[in-house]
Amino acid sequence: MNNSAHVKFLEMLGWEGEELQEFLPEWLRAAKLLGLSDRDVAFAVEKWIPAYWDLSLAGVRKYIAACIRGVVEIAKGADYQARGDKLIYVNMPSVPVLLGANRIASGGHVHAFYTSYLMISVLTAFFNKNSGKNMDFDEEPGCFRSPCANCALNRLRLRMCSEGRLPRPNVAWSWGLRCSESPKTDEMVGCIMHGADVNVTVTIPHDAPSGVVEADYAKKVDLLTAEMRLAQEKVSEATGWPVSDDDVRRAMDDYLEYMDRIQTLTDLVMTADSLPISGGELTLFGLCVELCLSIDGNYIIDALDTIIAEVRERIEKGIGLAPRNAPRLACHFNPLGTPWLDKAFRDSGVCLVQGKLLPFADKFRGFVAEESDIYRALARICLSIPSTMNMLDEARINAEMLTRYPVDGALYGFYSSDSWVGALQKTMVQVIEAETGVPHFYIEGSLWAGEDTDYDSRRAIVRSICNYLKISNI
Amino acid sequence: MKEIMQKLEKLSSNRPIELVERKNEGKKIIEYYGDFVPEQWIKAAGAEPYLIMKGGDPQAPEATLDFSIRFMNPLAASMVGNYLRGVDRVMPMADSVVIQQHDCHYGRMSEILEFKGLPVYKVGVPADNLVGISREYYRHELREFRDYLEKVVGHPLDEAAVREAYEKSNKIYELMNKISELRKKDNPPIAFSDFIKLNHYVMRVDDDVAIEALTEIYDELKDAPGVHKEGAPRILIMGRAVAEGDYVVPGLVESAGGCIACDFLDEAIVPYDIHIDTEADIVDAYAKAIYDDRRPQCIFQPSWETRFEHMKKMVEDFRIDGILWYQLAFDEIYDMEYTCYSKWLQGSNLPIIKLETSYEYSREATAPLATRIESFVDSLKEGK
Amino acid sequence: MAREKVLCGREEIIRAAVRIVDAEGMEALSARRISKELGVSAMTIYNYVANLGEVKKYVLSDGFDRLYDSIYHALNELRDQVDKFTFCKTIAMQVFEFAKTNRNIFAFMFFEGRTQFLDDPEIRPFYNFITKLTKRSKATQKDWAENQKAYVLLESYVIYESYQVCTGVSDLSREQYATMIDFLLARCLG
Repeated sequence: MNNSAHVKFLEMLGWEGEELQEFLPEWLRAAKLLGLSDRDVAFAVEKWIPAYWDLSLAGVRKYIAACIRGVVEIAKGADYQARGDKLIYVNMPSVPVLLGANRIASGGHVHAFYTSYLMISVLTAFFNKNSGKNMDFDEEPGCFRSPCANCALNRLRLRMCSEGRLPRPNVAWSWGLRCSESPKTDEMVGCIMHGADVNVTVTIPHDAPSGVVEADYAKKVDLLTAEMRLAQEKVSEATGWPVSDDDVRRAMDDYLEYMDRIQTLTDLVMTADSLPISGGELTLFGLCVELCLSIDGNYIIDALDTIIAEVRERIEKGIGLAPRNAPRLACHFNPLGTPWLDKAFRDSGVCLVQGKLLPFADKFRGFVAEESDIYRALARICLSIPSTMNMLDEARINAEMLTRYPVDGALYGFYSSDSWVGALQKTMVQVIEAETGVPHFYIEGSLWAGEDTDYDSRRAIVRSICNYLKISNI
Repeated sequence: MKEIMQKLEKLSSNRPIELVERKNEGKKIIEYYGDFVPEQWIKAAGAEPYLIMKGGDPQAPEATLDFSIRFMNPLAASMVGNYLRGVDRVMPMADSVVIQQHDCHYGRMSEILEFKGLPVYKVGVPADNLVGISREYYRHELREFRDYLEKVVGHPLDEAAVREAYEKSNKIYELMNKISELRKKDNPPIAFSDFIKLNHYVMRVDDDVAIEALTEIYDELKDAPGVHKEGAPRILIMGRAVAEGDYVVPGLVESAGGCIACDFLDEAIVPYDIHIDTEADIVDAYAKAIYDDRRPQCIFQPSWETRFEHMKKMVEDFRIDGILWYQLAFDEIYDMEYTCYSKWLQGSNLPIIKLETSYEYSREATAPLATRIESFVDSLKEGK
Repeated sequence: MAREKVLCGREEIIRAAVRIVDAEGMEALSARRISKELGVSAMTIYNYVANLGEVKKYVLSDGFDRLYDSIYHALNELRDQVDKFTFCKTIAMQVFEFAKTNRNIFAFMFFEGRTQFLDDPEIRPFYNFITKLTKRSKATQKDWAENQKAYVLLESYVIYESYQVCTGVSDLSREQYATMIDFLLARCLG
């Protein structure tokens, strides 16, 4: 293996000297886990990352580095197990407070990894891997077949398991707060491969009447609270580490400390005259809203504090990615996986904003203050994250954000294969547009399909959206 | 039997017209989807139930594409599409549309109906049915449904009437089960295409009419000769549903000389394997029969290993030669279950074939389908 | 047997379809016609697109792309001098010019295509664009509510007249059309 590309990669993200030399073998192991060749890394260093990520911002470098540290941790899973630690794998994006609580309660002897979510985010965002043409599953039993348009996270997880690339976890913790597919994937892994020792599921039916604010809907909150408590009991049984309510509170404090910074960053960026960082970068910083990196939390806090300072400086100096009056398009899919799309809009004079940035710290703190039961507060937080709830509730939340941060338009789509998240976006855009008057656009496609597969047929629509918004700005 | 089936078909297809008359008489019309909605309560409340179970038409899911994505199972999408196209004549006049919320396809489709202003009521069905809190939740849902039903009809639910309805349902289940058991004979006296239609008719017509018809049919069939070719390979059909109107595939199997001797379907079929306790609390009785104790639905978590054991028993009891996995397009959970089964069956001498349908049965689409089915049936014949 | 040419992606199909519709109209568009244009088999086309309807949608979106592009560039040139009259007139004139030079595409966009795709969430935002753009534009936003009916009327007239011209039913000249627009705007916008 030629390490020069890998060295350059780490140097690009801020590693140097002895620290780099110590970290390099660990990164090489993680790169192998991710299926990255030397050529893939060289491509990322020379072409992909410079094209889509502003590495002149130390905050961006630090946060990408934090994500890399997170993947390195996943790759060390077998080592942790060998020394008696426990592994929890979480599949879908989910509020990571309980995972943090397990870490706290065990003094770092329980490691919770969002294996597929983090790996696929890193692969698509920084290496242009694991998308479209690269996801080539064959017909053999044990693999998903594309006609069902299965979620790429689940497909990756299945592939990882079938290839034995990850050690068998002690617990597979399924969060079925959105689609039905994710928890069933855990069952499938258990049925036909070497699954986890224990499968734990948190799932609730989507039975709230459309329009009900689910975070305030007592029976849903009660059920989710009970489900999470029960799930945690099972997890503790499997790991041998009990988790107290105080541990959960401490994890919640850490999470809210992160969310405070997210709210600050969101407010700064969304109210700046000229957009200081890209849509993709906004999403990057919002990654830990529904994921934990299982690294020293100071890396994340430091990255956020750095980017906040840098953004303030850019705003003061009037430095931005686009001219002052460049239209802003709030987008609700995850441009982290499609940085090429973010750039395509920017090249046409429109800035994608919002992503996963959610200015909800105040709201979440409110739940914690109102609820004596920390699990109940957590349940209300889970039911406040867009796409976990009924369509009209989600529309309300998104409309509120459009009111808080005026934009020129909003963009939905790229979840055409998701039978929950994407299922009703075509309808939701009509609702939000009617309520807010903000022009709403929709693009068919899949986040995971890759630039070549989807963009060439959507180029005209992207340009039309951009021209529409630019005309409106005249 | 032919005459009885024709009579049932007429009553079944006239049901919407009958409902118009009932509505004019002041009756409440409650259209509903799924076994987890206690139809017996609707009847006991004096309202008229109408089960949503129409499939088999590709235009219905197409009609939803302005509101939703393509990747939704066509039966769930048909629920909305048939309303949008005006094919569902009952939904526009229904006083309530009650839909079980057991998976996200139905969850999202229900929301489209809500968006269109229909009076939708949701009955939540938690997927982890082995867990105490979920069982309690489902019971809570049933109690809430009861309160809702009482508001719709304007009077309390008569528990005696519910128990009477349970008794009639039990009778129907018993008779349907007996007819099903006749298919254990070497040459079953009823083809699946008739059996499934019988299920659909029974779910439309009055209970007393259904009981009378089923009794007559059973009496006729118990000594009747077989309707299949001698030595026809025996097939188990498994999947989410063979919906009302979706009869092409069973017909093709029978034309190819196969005998679908038994079925393992989750929806759009009489749950004839259950018995509802008529003495216990009405909520508890229903929940126990349909949620706690019944073989789990595919969506339940976990369920596949239990279902596989159940399937193996059916294979043994009905002396099955091969399995037809009948899957709705984009129905990812069933697709995953099939993947498990095909792996578990590797190395066994029980062939399994998956047929996926988006309800597209044009001549061009049906020809290759028929060829596949014929090859499967022929291979089963050779294997016998 | 000669190896069939390999397509690089949907873009080639879309470009070919646009060329065919531009030259011969939507009625000439078929999988066979596209495949002949590209030198591939009809089945190859269906490896990249689900059906002909999808291709028509791409052609439609390409039409809107070009139309909006011409509107934007025309307005951008005037940028500082744009008031509600120039905003509306510029759009009206660009639509007219587009209809004259892209007759077949325009006819499809505002007749058969509109019927077929008006409710499509990807395409819907681009229809009724004069009413929508005037609502958002700085030039027309301030008193949009008072002039809303005017913009609706303007849109109806612009699309109607342009459609008549592109289908050859009307032979209204550019100058005559401009005069009508001036009259309408003067009367309706005060």
